[in-house]
Amino acid sequence: MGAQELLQQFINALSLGSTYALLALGLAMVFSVMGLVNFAYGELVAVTGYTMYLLVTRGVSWWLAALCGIGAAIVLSLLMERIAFRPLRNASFLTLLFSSFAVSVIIQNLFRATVSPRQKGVPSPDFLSEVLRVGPLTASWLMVITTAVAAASLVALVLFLRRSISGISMRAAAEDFDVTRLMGVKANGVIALAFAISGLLAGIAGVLWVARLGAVAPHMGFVPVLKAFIATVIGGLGSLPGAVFGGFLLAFIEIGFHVILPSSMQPMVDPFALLIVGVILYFKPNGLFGGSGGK
Amino acid sequence: MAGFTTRLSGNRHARRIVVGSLALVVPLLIAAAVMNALATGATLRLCINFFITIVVCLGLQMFTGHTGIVSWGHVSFVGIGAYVAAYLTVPVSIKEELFPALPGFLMQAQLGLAPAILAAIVVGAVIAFVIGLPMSRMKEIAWAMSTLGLLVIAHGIFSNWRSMTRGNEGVYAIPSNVGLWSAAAAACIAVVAAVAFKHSRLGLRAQATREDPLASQASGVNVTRTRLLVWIASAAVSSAAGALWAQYNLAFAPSQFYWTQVFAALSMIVIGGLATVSGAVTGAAIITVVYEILRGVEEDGSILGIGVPKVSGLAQMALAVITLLILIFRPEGILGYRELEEWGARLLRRRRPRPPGGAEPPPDAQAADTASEEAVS
Amino acid sequence: MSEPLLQLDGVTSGYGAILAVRDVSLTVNDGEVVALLGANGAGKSTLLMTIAGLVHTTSGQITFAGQRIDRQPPERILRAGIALTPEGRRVFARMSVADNLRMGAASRRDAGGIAADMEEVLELFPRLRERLKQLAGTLSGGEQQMLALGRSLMSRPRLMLLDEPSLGLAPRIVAQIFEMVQELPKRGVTVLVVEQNVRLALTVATRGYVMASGAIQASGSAAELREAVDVEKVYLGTEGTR
Repeated sequence: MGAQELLQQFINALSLGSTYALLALGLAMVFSVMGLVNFAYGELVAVTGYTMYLLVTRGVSWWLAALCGIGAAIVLSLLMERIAFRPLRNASFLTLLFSSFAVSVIIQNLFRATVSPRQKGVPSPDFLSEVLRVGPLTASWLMVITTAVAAASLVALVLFLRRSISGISMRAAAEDFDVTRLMGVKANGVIALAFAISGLLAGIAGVLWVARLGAVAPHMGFVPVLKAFIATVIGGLGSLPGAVFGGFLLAFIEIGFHVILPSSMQPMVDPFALLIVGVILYFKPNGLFGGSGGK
Repeated sequence: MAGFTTRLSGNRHARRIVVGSLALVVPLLIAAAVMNALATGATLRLCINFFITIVVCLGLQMFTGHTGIVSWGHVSFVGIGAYVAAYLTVPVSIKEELFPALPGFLMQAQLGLAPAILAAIVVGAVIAFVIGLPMSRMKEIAWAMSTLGLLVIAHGIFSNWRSMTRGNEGVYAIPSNVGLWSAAAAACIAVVAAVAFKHSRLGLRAQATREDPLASQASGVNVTRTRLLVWIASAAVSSAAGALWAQYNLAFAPSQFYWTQVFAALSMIVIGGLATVSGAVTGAAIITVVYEILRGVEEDGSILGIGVPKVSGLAQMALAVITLLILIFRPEGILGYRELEEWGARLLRRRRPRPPGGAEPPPDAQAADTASEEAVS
Repeated sequence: MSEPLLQLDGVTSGYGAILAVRDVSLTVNDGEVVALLGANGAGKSTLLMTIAGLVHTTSGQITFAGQRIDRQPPERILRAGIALTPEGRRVFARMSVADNLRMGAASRRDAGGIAADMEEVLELFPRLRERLKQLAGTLSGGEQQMLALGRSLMSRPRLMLLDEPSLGLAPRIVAQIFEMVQELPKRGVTVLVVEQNVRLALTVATRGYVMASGAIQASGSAAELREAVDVEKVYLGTEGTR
């Protein structure tokens, strides 16, 4: 396999990694502040897709539908927090994890019941699938936009966390929740903000995801949350930079296996990637940026 | 945790296991007898599947309940048990067509119910040992993550190793070796095993690691080895359940060992109560009944003759809502930390008239252990 | 004699079944520095955390500037004007000195006032100005204590609760810190300081209470306490600097 092919796959991995990084960040955001791995996070991606499906099939412009989709993700995220997770604020990790699983099942079945149990197509603007050529290398506009949007979101998030008092409060809360409350920062406010940002990131990733898949289905949220979970675990639960790194690393691992495995074994890309993740975890049980010791 | 360092006197220990087992086995056998006499068709099927579900739940409870670590992967062991049973019981002529890659000695084998279950137990235990070794050193979250990996990887293998599993088209032609009484017997055996396990040294050590891994380690419990052993034992039970299940349901596909089943099994033990054997059984019973009712509503579109809009996924949604409510309001599950017989004892004590002076009758050892479990919770 | 700034009546609190604070009553008047003395485990820290709202009262009342504050969450209590500098400093180690100070003012909206206060704090603790961009976790113990105090000051409190400010610090730094503590009433800040270092505490405080086993065992002016032999008995060996 020549250098050109390698470079092409690198570009593919970059675009895939961008999506994974966004997803992982959204999941890590809530974990860092509340210690909750939100399994229902995938449903935020799904609700973005379903909102877009409902609007686009009724003639709304794709761009507007995308914006509404992101809004829907934010709203759903805040609702989840208020209804399901606030009563569980001090519960054990196990309880929180399983509750989020239950919430995920509830929402998935709501999609099934209110829209359709079957997959539904979501048309995207044509230009997204048009291909850009730079020399021998190709990338679809969607891939380019994905990478650009992810980069922009990352920059915006970093600025927010560094400069604004809300962002600084969130970092403080992630580090020492009690002392943050001693500074007069409202616990509920910080957590709600974390969920809102989580929803925003999921929404953005969701728009890109649906554009790539071209369809929505009730269980579509499962793959995004799984990828996000794996990426954050690789990077180190609770570490935001770790989540981004984990997202890219996972993408590279997957593309790597995609290239190495023969076509008959392509469906095994995910299991193999997970195996590598297992190996990483074995040597670094707290993830690559997670430090040693502790949970 | 006085219970795990104090040597329990032999008599009391054995008595607890007997009482605990009987408290569950007797109702199960009565239910079986009633079903045998009265039930037919769908109800009978439901009951038999319920007995098998008990074994599935007990396998999961043995691990998650004792170690406090969520396991998404025990359903994969159920799958492994099912495939092993298929390899050993499907008639030879059909086997050649289904599993072309099967090694010779397996291809020619044709065994009955018990040997198939035993084989499943052995295979499950060995596989659990192999993957458990690297996992056993991990911290709780990494453990849970690994079980997730196991679920996805196992499902991937089941779906894609066509020559050994027939991929997504699934397996059929398994002989019907399981009936009402064999299922009931299996459930009872599993109950006794689970109760004995809970009161065993290993079980008590495991519970110590659940409550406070650091403290138990400081007290000399080898957390790594304890978790590994519990993993293997529970995987063996889950595999047995799979072998049982395969020989009753006669056909299956990889999708039957994936998220829906994971959620169902976890819900059952969470709702009943993670920490207790009775909890797993009770949870399985409640969910089975509720789910059936709701599925009926979903399909027929009516509750007791009243029209209700047909909602797809209603049963699952309702189950999830119930689970969530329990987690919010009673996270320890319906039975909490007490087994059925302990609840019974409590009720009896309340009924006894108080002696003059208002003193409560002195608590017996069972209650003392309950109290210590409560304090630890 | 005006109403006390802080008043505790029969406060009992703790963690679950363990009552670390039993039936404590005390007062702190505006402009005072009051010392809360006692050996390890006497319940002093828990008492401060109870006042600050991190620990729930099981019974009793806490009144601050005429308002009941028991049962309020910590956020409200900070906004009412009480700032707790926790035991062990508990600075945000992964954040810069500047961000730590900004967090102190997290409840405030007046950008101008915040900037002015930040200047004042940096005047008070020049060492912090040098390390403004450094991560708080890389500071020495003494610098972290200064940061914690500065952080509390950034909220413009009326009452500061100091939990063992001298813990683990060298005598010179401790002296500096206590000098500053003494100045606080002149800046309009009343102080309730928990200390194991009896001698030091009584040099800055006008009054004191002695706690043991969760209850107040003795109280009096600093002079009275200094002379009481019993005070030393309560401490067994913590007399003098750590």
